[in-house]
Amino acid sequence: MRIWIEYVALWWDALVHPDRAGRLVLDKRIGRGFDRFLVAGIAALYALYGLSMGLFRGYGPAAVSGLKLPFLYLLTLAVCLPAFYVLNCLWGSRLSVPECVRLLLVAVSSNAAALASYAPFSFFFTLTTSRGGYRFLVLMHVAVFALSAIASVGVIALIFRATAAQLGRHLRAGVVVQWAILYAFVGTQMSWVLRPWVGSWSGPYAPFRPIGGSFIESLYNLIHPLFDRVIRLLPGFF
Amino acid sequence: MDMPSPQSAEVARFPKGIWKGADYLIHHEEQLMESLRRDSDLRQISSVLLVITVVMAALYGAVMGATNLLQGSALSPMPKMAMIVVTAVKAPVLLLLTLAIVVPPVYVSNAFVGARLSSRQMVALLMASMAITATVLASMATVAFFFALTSRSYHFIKLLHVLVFFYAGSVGLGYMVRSLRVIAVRAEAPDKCAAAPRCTPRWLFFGWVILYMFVGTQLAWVLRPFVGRPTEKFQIFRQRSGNFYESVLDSMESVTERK
Repeated sequence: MRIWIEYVALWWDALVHPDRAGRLVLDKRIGRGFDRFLVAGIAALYALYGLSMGLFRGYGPAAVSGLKLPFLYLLTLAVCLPAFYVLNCLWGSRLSVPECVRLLLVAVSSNAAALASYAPFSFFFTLTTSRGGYRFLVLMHVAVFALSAIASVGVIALIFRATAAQLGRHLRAGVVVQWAILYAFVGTQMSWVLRPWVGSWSGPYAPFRPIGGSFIESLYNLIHPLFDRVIRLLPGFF
Repeated sequence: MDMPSPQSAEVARFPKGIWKGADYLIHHEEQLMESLRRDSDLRQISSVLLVITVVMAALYGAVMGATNLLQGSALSPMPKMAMIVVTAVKAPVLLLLTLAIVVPPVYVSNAFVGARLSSRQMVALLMASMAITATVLASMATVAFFFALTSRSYHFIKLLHVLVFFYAGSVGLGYMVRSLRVIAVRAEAPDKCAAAPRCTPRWLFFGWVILYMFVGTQLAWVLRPFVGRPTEKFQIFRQRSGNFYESVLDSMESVTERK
């Protein structure tokens, strides 16, 4: 138990002082237990927010969404790991695989903390929204995910730089951006595969939906009609 | 980039084993450049790089060929399995044939205006950049696997592969550009009477990039299908028709104009 409290202190110290995070990632004395703690912590924080998402449809769906949300981030990490590792060797700080895993876990944990801080906010809105407010809730969650991503990207960039500096290497500017793009690309598709998150009241609840389409396509289909209308309106201005 | 001084730099020593070799390749840029500069052991290094290129490209090719299997399309099981093998062979062939076609013009144009390198050095350098491309491709295999597993659209997957190849190719070319610059700067020892070190000019790199893309895309078009359209019968090669660029535009249209 005491070691877990130590881990929490170490972890929070790394997030609040990203310049010290390099030591945390590279320190060989901190064992695999810390990585396990990170995975558990990330899962718990995301599960908290996931609960608030599914609560719209009741307690069962809340539990399902709470279980699914940690997998969204951890599976995305697993899919991206080989690409991250190779990029890190070519352009970044040349971490070994275990160091790379810990760095990415610390990075994801900062996002988990940012998202979990919105959990009370999300619980409040979910409990006070009527059954017709499905679209409002979905948009609210998208906004919260975007906000938490923005909040954590800055910290993540600092942690990456600190780790590279600890190794005496200069991190090429594009690396973090490329990682973020790849992570977002895979992550959005993963969220599409694992949907529903909120669950509308228009039909019976199902924990998963059949695979079909992709996030990018559905986003395009959402935006495309709007875009067309804007284009058709344009001549009116001139 | 941190450049060790020529005195402290070591030459590359590839460990045994394909994974360790690939790992060494992406970790030890400086040592590899030093080997290239000193022209030491290049025959052996080139053969290691060749093996890395073939295995890594085959890995990605297998995932690319498995698309129909993963998407659960209407084809019968045998062609689906055969496609994996066919594409796993085709992907390394694509990379190596591109290299073979591109080496002569790159070597000659570099010899005229660029850094002074022997043909063996130039081949090893291009092999290294191709091995980097193949390794980046292989690192994207999990991403391609995931998207094939979770998407039903042939055109979407096709565009994804085009994007991944484009990305891997540009990482490989970037590696070549960096190495060539470092080698050119280091190659001219101060005691030689040569004036300033002659670097390969920027516009030449730009020309090579265009050359690579032109050859690579045409070759990919000749060697298709890689993914295999689910509505067509199994075939190792398709009839020659159309071109790469039109086909990409067609796929973009069919992804965006559904529904």
